Amino acid sequence: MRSPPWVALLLRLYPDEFRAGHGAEVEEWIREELASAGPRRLWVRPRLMWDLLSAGVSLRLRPVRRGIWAAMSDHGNGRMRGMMGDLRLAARGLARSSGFTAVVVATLALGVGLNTALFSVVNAVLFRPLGYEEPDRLTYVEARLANRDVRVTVSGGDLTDLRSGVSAFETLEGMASIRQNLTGAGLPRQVQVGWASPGFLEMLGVAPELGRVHREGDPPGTVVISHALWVDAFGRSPSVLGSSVRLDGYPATIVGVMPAGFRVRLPRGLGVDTDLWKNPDSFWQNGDIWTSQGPEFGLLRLVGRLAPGASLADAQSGVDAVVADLRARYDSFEVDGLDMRVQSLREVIVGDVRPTLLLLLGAVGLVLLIACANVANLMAVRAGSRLREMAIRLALGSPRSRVGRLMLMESLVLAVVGTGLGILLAAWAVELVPAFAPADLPVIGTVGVDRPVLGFSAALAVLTTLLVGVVPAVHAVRADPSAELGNGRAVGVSGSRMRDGLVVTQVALSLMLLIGAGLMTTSLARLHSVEVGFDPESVYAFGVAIPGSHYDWPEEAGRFYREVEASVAALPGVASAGVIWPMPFSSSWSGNHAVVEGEPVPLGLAEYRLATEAYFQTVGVPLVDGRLYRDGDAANVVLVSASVSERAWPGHSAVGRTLQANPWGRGMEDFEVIGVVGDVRGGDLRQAPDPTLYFDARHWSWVDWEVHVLARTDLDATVLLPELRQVVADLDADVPLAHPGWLSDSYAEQTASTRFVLVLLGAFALSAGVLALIGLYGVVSYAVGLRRREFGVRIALGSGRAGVQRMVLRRGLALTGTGLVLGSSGAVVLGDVLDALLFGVSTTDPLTYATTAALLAVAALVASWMPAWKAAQVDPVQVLRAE
Amino acid sequence: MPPNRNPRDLLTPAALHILLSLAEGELHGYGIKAAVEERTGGQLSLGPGTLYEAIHRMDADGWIEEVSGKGRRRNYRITAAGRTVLDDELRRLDEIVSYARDADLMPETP
Repeated sequence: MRSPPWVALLLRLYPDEFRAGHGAEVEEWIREELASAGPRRLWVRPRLMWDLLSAGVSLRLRPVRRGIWAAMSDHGNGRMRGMMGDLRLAARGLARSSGFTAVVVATLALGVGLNTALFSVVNAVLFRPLGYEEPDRLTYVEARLANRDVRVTVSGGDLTDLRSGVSAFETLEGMASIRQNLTGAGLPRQVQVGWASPGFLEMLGVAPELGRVHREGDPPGTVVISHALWVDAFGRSPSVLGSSVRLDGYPATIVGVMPAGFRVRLPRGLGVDTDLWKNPDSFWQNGDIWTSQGPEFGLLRLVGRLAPGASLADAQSGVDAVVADLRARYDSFEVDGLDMRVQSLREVIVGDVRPTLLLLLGAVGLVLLIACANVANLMAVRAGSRLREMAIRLALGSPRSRVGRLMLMESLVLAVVGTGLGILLAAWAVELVPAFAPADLPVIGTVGVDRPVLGFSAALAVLTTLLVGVVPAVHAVRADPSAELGNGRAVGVSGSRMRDGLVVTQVALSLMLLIGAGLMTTSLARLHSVEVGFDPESVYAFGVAIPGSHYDWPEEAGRFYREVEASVAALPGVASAGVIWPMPFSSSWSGNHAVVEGEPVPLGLAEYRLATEAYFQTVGVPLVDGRLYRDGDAANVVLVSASVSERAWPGHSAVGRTLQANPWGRGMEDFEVIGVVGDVRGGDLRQAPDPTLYFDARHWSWVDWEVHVLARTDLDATVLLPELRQVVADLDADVPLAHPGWLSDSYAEQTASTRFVLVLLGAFALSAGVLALIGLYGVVSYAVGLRRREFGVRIALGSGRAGVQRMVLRRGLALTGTGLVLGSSGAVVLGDVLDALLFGVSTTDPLTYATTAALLAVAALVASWMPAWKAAQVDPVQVLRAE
Repeated sequence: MPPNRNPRDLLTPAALHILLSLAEGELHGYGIKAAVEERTGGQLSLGPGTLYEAIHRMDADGWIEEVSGKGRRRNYRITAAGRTVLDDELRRLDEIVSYARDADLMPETP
């Protein structure tokens, strides 16, 4: 086991002979402590970091302390020379003005820490290699029905056509994701099964940890399991190879274990949680999906490896030819506009999140810039007030280069300490990332402060030193001893224009961030006020999947689910229970058809769901017209959502009408509409509700797929869950209860990515705003300090204190005003970047612009009012006497 | 005054405990940590940085020295100079405690 990178980094703080003597023992100690800490790591790690940092600094500062003692006991050691001397001098100077040092170090630590933390996320998502062999040649073939704007999965027959028709692919493989019940390895559990074509794992080129991957000619039921499942269900047993388990009752044999960290990555987080990969076998409800072809048999997502030298365009043109052929063969493909796009696999995995992450990286970069501007400002102010000291040094014969170097050295010390603390802050902050990052963030490996991240931070440190240090150094070198020492006049006026410029920049940049955060907040509020069409509060949900091997489809399956529903509803404390597939805010697995009687055009976009009558009452979807299902209904009755009724029979009642649908791929059948229910928003709250057809779960029930049981209850989950498990176990001991949880929590996940961006952007904007205000306050108070004498004279000459106060305020507000104008223009330009993330609010929303600008203006008013008030309190007698 | 001892530089708790531990016999770094934890009932737990920083410093000042240890870990023992520092410190502490006892300022042992 290697030590974490921060140990080596912090050990650099120590002298060489310390590292040579004790480095290995320290590292070993830390490794052991971390290994034995378990979950307490979150606290043990920062403590160890602090211990290493503070002890190292203390050791390094020892000569300085000694120097000070020596000086205090009058054994002065003459003029110190060289770099080390400058460094000591700088450190001593900084230690003297501890308030200044603390503010600067904290500002830099915040800037660098936020940047490092965010960069470690960006690095893990965007820059790390995918972990497959030659990942650049891997592609994803996305199938869409262009005319209906839905993504679809592909049938095995289509895959065969693509394989023979497209020569640009070295291999082209497909994987379907299904859930099955695993028995024969401890408690029954539901597992995510990747039903992959034989060459799928081999194509990715990752060697298994144990055994082998699938190969052509394996018997049905040959299984490769994930590292996680091996640990969980088999306790890392090496004898797992060759052992037999059952998947939904069918025998399966384990031939391999994939290594830890291996993931199949498909777009939108799909495939990542696969527990085991099963080679294709011929069993399926509707026949053999590996050979059947056409719209009804789509289950597969396609990943291909380009032949050496072949380009995406080559593959695309080959795929286009095959698609044209498919559209000629199947009418519905032609009507719906089947289309397949060959994209780089990396692009489809991270393409969705890249703009968001880069936006956040840009925002946090702005925070660092503001922090640097702030520190540069403070340094300039400090340099201004030290011009006399510098002038004395110059007058005493110190070369200009040495004075400049001393100033640079101060910046260096500040930047290094600030960056160091920033990295520690980041190392701690990234531990929190998994807790609040959206679950579908495609992280490769783990988010952590590793070598590239440290490199990034080091680059930041160099950048900040330059940004922060050059200005005061130049300032100091330019000092003119005769002018500075000649009289006691106000010093440092020359730098005021530059300081003003820095403040204006800060205000402008933070306004941009605040506007961005404001727009995101409005979006989230709009998203929350969207009518979802049901009430997710107090509804507890869980999934059950019953195996097709034991249950006839659909009658026995339908009976099973209704029995579960009845037993759950009968539990004390449960008001009602219902069954639904799929969950209300998830999309069904493929687009489906609905044709309205007498209408030649398909309705399009209809989602298919199955439900029991109790479902609607349980989640609060209202019955708008007609009636719900009841016993004795024929199988071919359907409930439609309000938007179906509005589209198909505008202005008329839908009840009693007939429509054609093809629920499970047996061809089009007639269905009688018996009622209309309220619309429910689909997976993406930003989009209009999908027209939905609800089929009666009595007659149309799934096996093998997870069906959801919902219960409206006031009970606590800890009380409820054991009872629910008992209910399911009583009905079938081999069927596990899966994915229990509150509906409102899964619903909250829908807004998780927006909230993630919002929280970060808000935090950045807030830090930026606070930094800008500190900068403004600093500059205005400094200016007031310089002009004390002038104010004293003005007040003595009869200009009212109010007049002086106004004068100072005006200056602060002029700076703020300029910054606000520049910031708003900048925000308009950057608005396009935000556009894709916003909902229900324009990128130039006047209200957001006005409120954020007003907020910042008020804060700026306060920040300049305080020094202005001080200016008005100047006592003319005191000031003039001091002359 | 002991060598390299600054009048204002009182012994840090870490240094005192390291000297105490080594006064009882040779130990390596982790052994010192364990001894200190045992003596203080876990009240004082030295981190690796603090401990080795103190060892490094006291070694440089000649209060302790390395002995050829068994295995990879380095063992340390207290030197005569270190013994003097420890004696001084213990005497100083003892004076304080005696004074407090005479003045009836000592709290009851719980």
